Amino acid sequence: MTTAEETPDPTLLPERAVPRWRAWLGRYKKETLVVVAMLATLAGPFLLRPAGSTGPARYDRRLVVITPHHELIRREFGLAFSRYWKEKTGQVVFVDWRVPGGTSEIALLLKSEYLGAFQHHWEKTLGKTWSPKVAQACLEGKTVFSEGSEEAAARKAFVESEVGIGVDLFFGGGPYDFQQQARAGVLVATTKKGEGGLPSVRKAHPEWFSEAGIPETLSGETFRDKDERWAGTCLSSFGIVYNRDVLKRLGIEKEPESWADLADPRLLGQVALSDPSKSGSVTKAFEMVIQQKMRQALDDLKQRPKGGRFAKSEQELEAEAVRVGWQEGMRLIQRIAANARYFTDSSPKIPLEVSRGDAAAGMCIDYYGRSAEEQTRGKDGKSRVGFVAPVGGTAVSVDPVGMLRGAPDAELATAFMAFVLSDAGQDLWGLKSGAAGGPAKVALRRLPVRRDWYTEARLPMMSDAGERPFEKAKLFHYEADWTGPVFNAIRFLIRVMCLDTHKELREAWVELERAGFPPEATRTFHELGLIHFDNAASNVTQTLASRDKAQETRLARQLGEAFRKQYQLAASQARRGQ
Amino acid sequence: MSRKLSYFVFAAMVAFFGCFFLAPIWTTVVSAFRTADHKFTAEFVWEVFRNPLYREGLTNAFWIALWTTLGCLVLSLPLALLHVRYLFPGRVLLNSLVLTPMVLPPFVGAIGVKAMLGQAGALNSLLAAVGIMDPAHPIDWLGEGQMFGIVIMEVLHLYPIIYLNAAAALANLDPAMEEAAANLGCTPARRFWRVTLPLIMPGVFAGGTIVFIWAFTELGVPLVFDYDRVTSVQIFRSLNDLSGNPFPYALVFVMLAFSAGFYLLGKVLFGRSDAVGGGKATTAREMIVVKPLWGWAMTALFAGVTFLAVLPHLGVVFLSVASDWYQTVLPTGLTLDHFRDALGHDLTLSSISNSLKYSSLAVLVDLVLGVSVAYVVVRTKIPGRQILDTMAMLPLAVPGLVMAFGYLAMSREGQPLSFLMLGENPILLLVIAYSVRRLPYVVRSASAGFQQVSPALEEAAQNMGATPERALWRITLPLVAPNLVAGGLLAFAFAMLEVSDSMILAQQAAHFPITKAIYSLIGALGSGPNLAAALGVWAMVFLTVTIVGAAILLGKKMGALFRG
Repeated sequence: MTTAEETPDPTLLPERAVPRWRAWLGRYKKETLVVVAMLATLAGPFLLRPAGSTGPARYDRRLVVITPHHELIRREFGLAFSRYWKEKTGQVVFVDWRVPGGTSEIALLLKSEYLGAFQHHWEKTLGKTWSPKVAQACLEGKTVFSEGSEEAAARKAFVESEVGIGVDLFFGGGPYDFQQQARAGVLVATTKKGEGGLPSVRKAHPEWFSEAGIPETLSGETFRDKDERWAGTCLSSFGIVYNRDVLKRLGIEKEPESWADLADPRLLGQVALSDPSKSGSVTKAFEMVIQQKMRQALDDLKQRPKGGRFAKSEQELEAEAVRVGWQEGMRLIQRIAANARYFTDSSPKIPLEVSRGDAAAGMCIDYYGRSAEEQTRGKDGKSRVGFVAPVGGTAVSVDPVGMLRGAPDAELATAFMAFVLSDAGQDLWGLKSGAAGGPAKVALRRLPVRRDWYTEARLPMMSDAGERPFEKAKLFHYEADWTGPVFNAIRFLIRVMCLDTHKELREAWVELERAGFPPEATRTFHELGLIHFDNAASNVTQTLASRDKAQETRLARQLGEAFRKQYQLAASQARRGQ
Repeated sequence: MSRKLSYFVFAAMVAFFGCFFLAPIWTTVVSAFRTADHKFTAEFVWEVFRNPLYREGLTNAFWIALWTTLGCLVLSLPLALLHVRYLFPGRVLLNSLVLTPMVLPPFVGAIGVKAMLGQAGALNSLLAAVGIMDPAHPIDWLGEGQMFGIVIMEVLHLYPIIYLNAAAALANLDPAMEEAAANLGCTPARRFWRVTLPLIMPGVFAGGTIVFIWAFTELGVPLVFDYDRVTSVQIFRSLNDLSGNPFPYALVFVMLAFSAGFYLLGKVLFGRSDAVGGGKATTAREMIVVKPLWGWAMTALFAGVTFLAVLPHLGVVFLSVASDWYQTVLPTGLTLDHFRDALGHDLTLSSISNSLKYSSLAVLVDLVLGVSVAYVVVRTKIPGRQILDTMAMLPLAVPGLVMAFGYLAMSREGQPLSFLMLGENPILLLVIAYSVRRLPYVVRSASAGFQQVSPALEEAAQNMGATPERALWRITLPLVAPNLVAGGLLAFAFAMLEVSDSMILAQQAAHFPITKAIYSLIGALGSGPNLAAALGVWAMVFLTVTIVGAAILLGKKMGALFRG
């Protein structure tokens, strides 16, 4: 450190005066060096910054969208919509994506946030006292409360309010979660004044909302809400993504074809799954497993000789098939989950683990599988990753969009929904990258929802020209009545039965395999008396709907403990060869 | 400094501490014990202990912390001894390289480790190529051993903290003590156990506590390893569901109680220094010169550990330039696309500028507050000034996750400090969170500076007629400037690396700091980990520049900053 005496005083020595800045530099040489080095590092990202940004520094209007869609989809739609809006109105739009996690997590967040916002409204605006009853009733769309009760007043106040959470749209997920949010009153058709929303889109483009465009239902799956609170934007089905190298290494010659192939004991520790309480798509895939089992059970029951004392009506047969199929489906899920490596927190990690060779196979949404296959394709055109949609094992459902209650900018939200459903939006989903109107960077490889989009003219530009989703949909008839009421329970029960107890589940599975599946141990392993269908549909579903966290946690603990004991028993029985 | 100003500093610090340290913790604790209709209940906390999942989370967090601390001790104590006692080739360089693992948040390193420890990863490929492993039966290192991966990652990240503390304690140790023992016929091993270790115990303990609590509450690494059976992740997962849900609060309370408990327990068991050394060396330590063979062996050991520690970084670098890295030791194709995509990503520039904004503002707050506090503690005689010092250091003992959660709870709508959330912008909250957490670094370095500069200089200025404030401003501050710059840079670097607060408080992409941007890139479909790695490499370069800068400016005083 130099001291003041060593620096010559410029007033005394005018000729040899050192400029002030130089003296300063000389004194703080090291410090300057460090700062310059830091600035140089900062230059990189500054020079590479994207030309068109979905998050401009200055904007005229902002559209807030909560979504589970991945980065590429957000980027393509963000850029395309802001460009479209700029051309139409000259305004700069900032599409503000909120990505708190998977669909299941968004559903939780929406309920939690709306509850908080309504509590504020109830206490501060309406000046009433908050109670657990009010909390339970305000988002409850199913039960009809008796006139004049506190619950009825709370529900009425919510439905008539414009309580919002500062978010305009919910974009992406599955029809189940959209139905739930619509019923709770979180999704709305129009604003309180009756403006905007899907009804106005329909008025402008009635042809989109027809059998030729987006049918209301297809093979049992709802494609758009009949009260117009949400509509599908693209199609999704489910399947198995697998790594050929790993399968070969494990000695599995046949590539997987059906869900049951994932339960092969040789796949122990090699199946990639994710937590259904985080991801909606994985829950949907599990639902497909159960639905397929229910269908098979119904076919079996129908083939049994009719007549005699045991004759049953159609309805009775169906009810029995649902119960039997539920058990069979859950058992298959047990076996698949016993093979799981571990459960990731988000579904895009499944194709990633498979393509990296960390897992042999996994369940995922179709376009994840197709993208993974494309990404790992070598120069010879072969890919180590494959994707298959199990025959008769998957429905074709939609990825919807809907407007939220209290949307800050309902006009913009409506314009976005119209854009996604328009030709321009549909092209983004389904065209190759670089094709006119297609995505700028990478093909999104998703199938648009509008039937009239699939034309001969577009065929050469489609990223997945071979797909015939509307034909494929006919192979699987989805019965919303069968699993719809227990969808939430599926999430919860799989968590309790397979995730929370995964260690014990896996140990029991290993012992069973080693002992050659002795009957009694296998029966213990698969004992599902605790969570039979009627229990899932009533008790579990009610507890989940009550939003009483203490009760829910207690239920999870009790069921978890029971399953843990059961798996331990199965393991010890297997060890004894029973 | 005038008495009035000293009292003002005291009051300001107490207010800051009360609002931004005690209040957030208090809000969380209250919510953990309150039912929906505002009655007291211990049910939620009790449920945490009854629930096997939560219990498992706590036990796992404990084991991770214990193994990490032991691992750090095993790795760093021998190195510290070698460094202080022996002369060997490259000693000075290797000592400064010890800090390298700290330039990267461990969760970024975890991305690299994940890529290397996969079933078709680099390690298995290496083992297969060497012939140790049958390629048909690769080991799935992380399939069941996520905890193993987490511990490795944290040991490699945190061992420098214990190393620096131990080395500093050893350097302060009076060699006369050891010489006396040797003269009395004590064997070297016995001497180490009976003399050296007890004397450096307080220093080692201070480092060990930081490491233990850090590992106990680490969030980023278990998140990247998809390990959800640990309390920190369980808390993070429940953030989307806070309304009417008391369990996250109860979990945070339990975590805080355990951290405090472990700290006190450690203090009782190891913190007392029964053995009192002279404090300052009475004779100069004579460095032992060993035979070249042994010298090189020491160099190899030192370098080997450093190499291990930078392996995750290497993994990250490889991942960032790899077009594919599958079943091979090294990536098969090289590409710069990931850098182009990552640095040109929508999130990147804004997150970098956010991080710079948050961190520099936080450092500014820290400098003003830290210098004032240090000055009052070191140079004045006002009663209770030691409390001030304790207050400034306390944030080191409380997990970042607990603080972050407290800020979140405190700023929710309807809470007293909800105005801190500027609409949706968490800038104030993050600046406060960062500055509270990094205040200890600045206070430590400023205190060190004030202790070294003789008060006589300031007194002379006052004799010449300068006011106490002017004397401080013109004389003392310029003299301690290097300390302040170094402390500030370090605080800045760690604020840039901050994970818990950033993950929890920044909820919208527009306000993400860089760590959260990296985390959210991991999840991108397809090349997510590569993009995250590329941005991680950039952060690494930036922080290397910062920390090397701090090291150049501060010299050997670096270790003093980590002493609790």
